Amino acid sequence: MTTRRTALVIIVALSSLAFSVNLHAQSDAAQQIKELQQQSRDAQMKNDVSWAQQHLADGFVAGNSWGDWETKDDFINDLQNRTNKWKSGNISDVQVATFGSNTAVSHYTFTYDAELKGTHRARTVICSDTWINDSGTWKTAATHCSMVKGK
Amino acid sequence: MALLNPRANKENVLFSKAEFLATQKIIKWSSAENSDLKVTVFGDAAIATGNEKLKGTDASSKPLDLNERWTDTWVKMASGKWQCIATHQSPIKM
Repeated sequence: MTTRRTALVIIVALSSLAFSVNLHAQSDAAQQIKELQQQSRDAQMKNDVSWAQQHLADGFVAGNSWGDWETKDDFINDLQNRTNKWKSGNISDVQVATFGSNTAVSHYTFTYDAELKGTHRARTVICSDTWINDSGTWKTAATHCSMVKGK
Repeated sequence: MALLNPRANKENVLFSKAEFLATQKIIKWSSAENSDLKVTVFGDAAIATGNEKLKGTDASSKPLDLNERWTDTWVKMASGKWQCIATHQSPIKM
């Protein structure tokens, strides 16, 4: 009886530990993605192609707030287009939900003022990004933004 | 599951699964056409994108005639079943 009770206590303790480790890992991933989300916007403001090359997954798709779909190559070409100029850009209200250890979805608000492809856009958009863990590196698989305010 | 759709409610555009299902009970759809459907698989996750034309009526019987584009995120669960974990819908030609 004592042996059974001891075994039960050990099983419960190990299960609690595993649950705690899992929660901790998910919390770490969410925090990491929040930081990457900010880095992503900082890179966009600076037209930083190398960040995009590293953190956009092959097969990446972007749905922007004026109705275009873009591939990874399209997105990088936009970053390289020196006529695109960012005056300001701030993200807020970032929320991250993880699903298992390799997928996460972030939602956030992005307010910016920019000259993009010859058009002045000053607007607030809401966005959903999907992140995938590619051999230890979180990469964006998709982003989709919709305008809620501005022009 | 989470849904982002600015047309639904501008004060609270992020819906939980329960809220999304509740909106689907209120709206009566008469037609739905998908086009340009594309799916890319990333291991146990997949992204589906497309355009849709929806017609129906809202809770006050006001006609709905929508032209939207959407991005869905799917994850393969431990059971092997694919489940949609997020969808983002927005009007075309804003």
